[in-house]
Amino acid sequence: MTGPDDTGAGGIRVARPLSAPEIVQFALLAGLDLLPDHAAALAPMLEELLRASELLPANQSAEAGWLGDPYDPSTGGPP
Amino acid sequence: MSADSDEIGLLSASELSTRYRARDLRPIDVVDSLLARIEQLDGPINAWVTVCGDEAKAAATASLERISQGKPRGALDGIPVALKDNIDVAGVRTTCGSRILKGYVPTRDADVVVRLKEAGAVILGKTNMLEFAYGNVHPDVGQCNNPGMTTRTAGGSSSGSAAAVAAGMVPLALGTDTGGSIRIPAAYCGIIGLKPTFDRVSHRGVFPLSWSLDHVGQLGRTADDVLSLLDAVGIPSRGPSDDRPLSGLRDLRVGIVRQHLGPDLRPGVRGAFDRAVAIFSDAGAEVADVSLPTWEHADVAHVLVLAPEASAVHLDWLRGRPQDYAPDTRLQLELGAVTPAAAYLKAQRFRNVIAAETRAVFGGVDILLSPTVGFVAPETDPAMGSELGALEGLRTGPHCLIGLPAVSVPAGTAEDGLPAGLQIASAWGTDRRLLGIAAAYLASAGWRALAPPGT
Repeated sequence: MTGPDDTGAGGIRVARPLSAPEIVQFALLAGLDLLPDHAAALAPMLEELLRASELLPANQSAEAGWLGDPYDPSTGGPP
Repeated sequence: MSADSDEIGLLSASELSTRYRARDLRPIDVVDSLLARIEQLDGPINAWVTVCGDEAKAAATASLERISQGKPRGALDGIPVALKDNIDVAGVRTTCGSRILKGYVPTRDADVVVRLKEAGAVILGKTNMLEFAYGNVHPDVGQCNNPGMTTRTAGGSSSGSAAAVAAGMVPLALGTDTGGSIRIPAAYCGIIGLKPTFDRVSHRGVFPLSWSLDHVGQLGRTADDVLSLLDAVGIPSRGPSDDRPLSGLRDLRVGIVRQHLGPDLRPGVRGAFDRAVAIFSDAGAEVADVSLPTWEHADVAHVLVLAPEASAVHLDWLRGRPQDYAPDTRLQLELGAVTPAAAYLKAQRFRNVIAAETRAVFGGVDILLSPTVGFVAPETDPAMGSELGALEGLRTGPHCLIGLPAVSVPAGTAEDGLPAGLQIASAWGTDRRLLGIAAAYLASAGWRALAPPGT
């Protein structure tokens, strides 16, 4: 997902990750019915989660990731 | 309550089976006794959502006929079993502890129910759970309380399954575990709870929370009973070493997960854990600390996978009936609905990193030990998004992320005289051996089931 154009030209052109408040705003615009206190709570929760996700050690391998078979050494445990 | 009812409530599944075959006890008498115990004990516990009395009596009568003819179907013939209320039984409502599924009566059995019926087991009923197994009590359903102290929670999300087993209302139960939902209530209630290797037990007919994290597992008061239930509902291991001979705890290579001995551990739980570890070392096991640095990130990865997958399942209801969820469940579903795909996929890819590190550690150890939870049963179930909620699942989440089998076994008592759990994990596919190790530990510890209430 990219963020709004920071130049003020409108549209969605600039490849900037949306901030947590922007994501929540988009969700509201898309029709997600949030309780008023949830709308206030959600942005900081998401922000914290995304900040923590930045610290996840990256998987540099070419493997696609977990596919749900722990017996397959490329996705889980030993055969 | 009659002495017979008390005695029957304390019997294990294997003891019941032995007495059935000796014509010393009949399945119908056991069902009647357990129904009476539920009637008398469950009020303050709230473990049961639906009790299938008539169906259980019919199944017990059919079982008696087979046993009388000398043709029992196996170790579970005539044994009452409870099911978490996210597991479908044809003709019996499934509520998932929520208002959302009100009126839903499935028309087919879940795979595990098919297998239980084939094994001759008696489905006694459906048990209370946190709403959609997602960490919160729905007010319509109410909290399931701990049989050992009814002012405390039984834990979750397989709350009723653990409480019913601990209270001697049923000898065995099935639950589901997506981040600790079998092992945590097992620890709080002082029983045994197994989360098997991923996909060792079919999920078909079990309402999903998070399809790449969900595990169907077993709860009981003895490791042998849990093994019988695993054998009945599971598939054989595709791994090579599930039935490797075991000579007690001697010669085992035991790793203590250093990352799980953090400052959040309550002193009583730490003491119980240290005493449990001493049982292994006194028995001749080789015990050493192991470090799994990637596990420090497991909690974040777990939320990043769980939240979007759960929200994908619930999106239509979240849009159309958001008011029918408990507020905290709704908030978690909303969080998952706005979590970016890139973050979800990064966490999915990270699971390979954790699996690789763990696989390397299992080159040097046979099992990993950690406390199941850092504290004893709190008064109420902590919300997943709360600080206590995050700590509650800290030591059980990694195993779900990588599909590793893990069992919580009793480790004596800790703060307020409540049970503490010891978590034992072994390599993928070695679930039967893991339960053998759990049985050997329990025998060495001299532990037996905590006396259920009313005895």
